[in-house]
Amino acid sequence: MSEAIVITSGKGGVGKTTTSANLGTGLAILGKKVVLLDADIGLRNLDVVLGLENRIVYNLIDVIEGNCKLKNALIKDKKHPGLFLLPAAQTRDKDAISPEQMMELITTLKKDFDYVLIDCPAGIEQGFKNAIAGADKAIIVTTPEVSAIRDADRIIGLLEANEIKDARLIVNRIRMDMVKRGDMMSIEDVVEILAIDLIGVVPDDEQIVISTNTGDPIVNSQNILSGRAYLNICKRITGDDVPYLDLNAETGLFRRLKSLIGFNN
Amino acid sequence: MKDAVLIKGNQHGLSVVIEPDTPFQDVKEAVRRKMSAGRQFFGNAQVTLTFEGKSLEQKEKEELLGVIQENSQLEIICLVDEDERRLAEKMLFLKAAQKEADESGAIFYNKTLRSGQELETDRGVVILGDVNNGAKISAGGNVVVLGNLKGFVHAGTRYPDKAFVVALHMQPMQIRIGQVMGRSPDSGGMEKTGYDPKIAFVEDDRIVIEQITNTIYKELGL
Repeated sequence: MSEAIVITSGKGGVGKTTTSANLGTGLAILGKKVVLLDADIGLRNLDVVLGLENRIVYNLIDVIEGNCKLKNALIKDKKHPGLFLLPAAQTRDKDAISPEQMMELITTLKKDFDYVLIDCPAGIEQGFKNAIAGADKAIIVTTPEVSAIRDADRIIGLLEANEIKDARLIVNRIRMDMVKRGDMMSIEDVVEILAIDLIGVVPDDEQIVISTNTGDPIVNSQNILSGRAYLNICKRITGDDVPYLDLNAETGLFRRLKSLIGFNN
Repeated sequence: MKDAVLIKGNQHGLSVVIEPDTPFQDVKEAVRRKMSAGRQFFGNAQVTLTFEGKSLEQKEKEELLGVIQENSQLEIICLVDEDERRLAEKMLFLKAAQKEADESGAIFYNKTLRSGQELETDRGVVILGDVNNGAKISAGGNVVVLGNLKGFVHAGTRYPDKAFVVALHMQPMQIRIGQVMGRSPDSGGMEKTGYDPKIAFVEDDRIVIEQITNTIYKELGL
């Protein structure tokens, strides 16, 4: 039974695209057949994060407008044979497609893949409506910041209004040192405000910035805590109830110190 | 030998409890016997009918229904299956609660109001959930929030006299009762969680928020 999951947040810059890339790659690591669909038409960058920018020939709009066959537009990942990307068009905008067309496309993709992950654009306008049109479930990404949580709350309301009841939460970029000092909202606080089920927590990690820039998702590096956090989320998506990582174990300075003196954890 | 069928009454009508191992023909015969024997007893009431003990094919249900109708004067309003009957009972409780609320002029809303959502009513309102930042309630009468109140609330749009707002956790962005307006302090800081029930009311044209104690309603003359 295949699933279409939209990855959304409302606010921009909280890590939707990074999350999409890592969840897609992680699910492929777990042996699933996955297609990542970039719904951010006009501002595409899922291809960049995956390091597949140079392979794009056709895109989502080409498929919808019938300029090419679906299989010609799908880009196979460098590392994982089960992972494919359907890139967004860069020269058009969100109004170029309709929710109905999106729904049709996702229905077609679901026949061939275990998971269709949709990277949703920021905002609540046409792009958002297109992105959620064919989704069965949603993953909400938020950071422990008031502005991101406000937007996430709005999004959850809109998803409910659109009959997407299964929405689960990823708290991204948590810094346990700041939480301990009382300078950052804790995971419990965020979950209490948004009142939806948590599916994962990803620590703030400069390694993610590096991996994003090099086009190699962090989930490929299982020696890094944030990489493990993403793989755990993937396992939870597949229905495997894995325990949460102890994020207190190694934060910021401590890990940098360890790597300085040559420990490879 | 156990009876092939038992006929019991429930809140809304009759339950026919079927012994699972009995062949259908015997069940039919037993129903016929029991119904015709109890013809006087059952009278001509309007009832719902539930089959329990064994799941039946639609055709079998219809046959049994036919047998019951032939052998009694009961008016079967509808067939209800077991789960549905339990649901119906639950609905009845809810309806009773709702009716009570209707009579006291309040409505129930049993979901969290999220950012961008708005609830407007001429009556009072009881929210079973949170009112998040960016959500808006405006009510003709009182507002009771059994959860966190963090959004915008306007109580007493219609009946401003003695209108009040109660919340388990009172931290509204803005609060308005009738024509009187108040806003949250500028001190900022992180959002707090945890329950600390409070009541907001108008005193000398200002909004006052106080801890809920067991005498407060009396003191306020509510």
